[in-house]
Amino acid sequence: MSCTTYREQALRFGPDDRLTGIVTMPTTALAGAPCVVFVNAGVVHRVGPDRLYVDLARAIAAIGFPSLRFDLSGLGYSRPAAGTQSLDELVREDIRSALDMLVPMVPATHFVMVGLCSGANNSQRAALSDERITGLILIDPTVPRTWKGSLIHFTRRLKHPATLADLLLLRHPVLHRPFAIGAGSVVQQAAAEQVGDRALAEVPRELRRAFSESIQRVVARDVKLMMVFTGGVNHVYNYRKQLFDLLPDVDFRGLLHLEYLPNADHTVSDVANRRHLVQAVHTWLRRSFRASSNDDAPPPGIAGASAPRRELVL
Amino acid sequence: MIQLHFGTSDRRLFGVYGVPSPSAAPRGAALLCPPWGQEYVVSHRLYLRLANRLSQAGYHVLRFDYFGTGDSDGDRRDGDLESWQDDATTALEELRDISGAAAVTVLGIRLGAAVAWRLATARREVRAAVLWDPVISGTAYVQDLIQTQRQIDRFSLTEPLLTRGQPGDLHLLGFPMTLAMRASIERIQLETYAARSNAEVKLFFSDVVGDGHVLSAAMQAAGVAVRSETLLGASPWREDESTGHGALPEPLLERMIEGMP
Repeated sequence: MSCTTYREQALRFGPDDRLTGIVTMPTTALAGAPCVVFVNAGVVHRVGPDRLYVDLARAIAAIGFPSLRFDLSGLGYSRPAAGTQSLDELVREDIRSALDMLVPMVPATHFVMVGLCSGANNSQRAALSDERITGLILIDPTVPRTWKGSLIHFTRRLKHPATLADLLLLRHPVLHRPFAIGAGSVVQQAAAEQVGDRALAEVPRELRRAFSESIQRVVARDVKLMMVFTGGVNHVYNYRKQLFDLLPDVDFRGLLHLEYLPNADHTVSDVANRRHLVQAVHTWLRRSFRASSNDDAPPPGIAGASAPRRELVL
Repeated sequence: MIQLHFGTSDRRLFGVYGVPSPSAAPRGAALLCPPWGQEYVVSHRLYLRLANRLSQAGYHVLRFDYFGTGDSDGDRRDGDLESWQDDATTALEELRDISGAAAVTVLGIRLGAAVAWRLATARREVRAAVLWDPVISGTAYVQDLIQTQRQIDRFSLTEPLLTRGQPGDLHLLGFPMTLAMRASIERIQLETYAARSNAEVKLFFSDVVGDGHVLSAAMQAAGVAVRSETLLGASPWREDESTGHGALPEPLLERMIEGMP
């Protein structure tokens, strides 16, 4: 990626100046474009898992979109907060502080949040309470399994050469701990002691209900959605249209773009899938926030993406 | 802590500069050279903590990202050991410029230690080098990464990652390693460390104790003033699966700062 297409500035902001981030400004800005904000994935600092956020930030700058990648309180270069807020409250405050800082600085009026894994969950929650957020890119957000997904996973796992080899050589863990999975297992018992049997049984149902309600509220606000599921979470999400089995009641009204990358790992780290994802984000941003443009040419530096396209617009 | 970009417009690097605590006796300047790949990710928190503690102990500190890594410019496939050494040289000059310090201590873990040592042999202003579990055999280092990636691939339900990418590339724990990168790393061997340097060397081992004695002996034989110490505790560059970080062994850090040349 050519550094002639962007300028980067490191800065401090937020309560007590405890937060740190890097703003990537396009050399040629797109009028009215939203500012894209990247939210930490787990404990990985703002460069993103295997540097995913850096790649995305610079690629979208090449087509005129400014962005911020920053560290939440206590992560990366940001100092911990001194207060007694819950983690959810703290994350919300940090994201709000980031948007408040960007409004006059970029300047920006609306935002697209991007996050992988916990970053996706935090982005989704932020969109529920901040109307300035008009777009979401959620990469491997936490979703519950479906029965079909579970069946596919266990079948694939059973047929996997490593599983077969371990079973034949009598060294597979399940042969030594036959009750290690399912009801009555050590894991189940320990979890039940923590939260109670009834609460434990409610977890998948509650997760599905919360996920469904959250997406419905986001869609009701006309937030444009790009959701990406990778092979890195194929124990949970393993067929293209699983999302619609999870959310049968949600009418996306054309606001959703779904990318399914079954051969990518969780951090989309291999070069071909990374190029494909960068290209897909680039195209989605253009289509969603620059209605007048019909130009879907790849951004500089990511031409020749070779991973197969797997997309679905609903 | 001050975030800064430095270097040239076609090779812009990112760094974080720490000012020495006014309450501590001045101890000069320290340059922190990071490791590569997943070890960079896992040890990132340790490097920040180490930088903070060194500032409190009276050092001007600069921690930086090589070109193609972290917040610096460049692509993940850019770079090899030689270019990382060039970046470390640029960072050394930046640190001297900011701090006014005549002498600099260089510190590194794993591959970062190999870069720090090369700098110590090339630049007279490097008066001390602190090397923590340095990569002694580049070939063994690459093979270890390959074996770990193979183990991951063996149980994965997706296609193996190891040989994905451009012809000749390896894909190792989330990062592409090009042929040039691999060749430069595989040139690291015991003899690399048996080179003359004015720097006083402190070796810390927490994971490669056996080879460590051999390394220490080789450096002494080459006339390097070297001391070594074994730190008992978790290696900060190995991922703790429960936290996603490397360990943050505070007592080891204190011991390390106390024992710096």
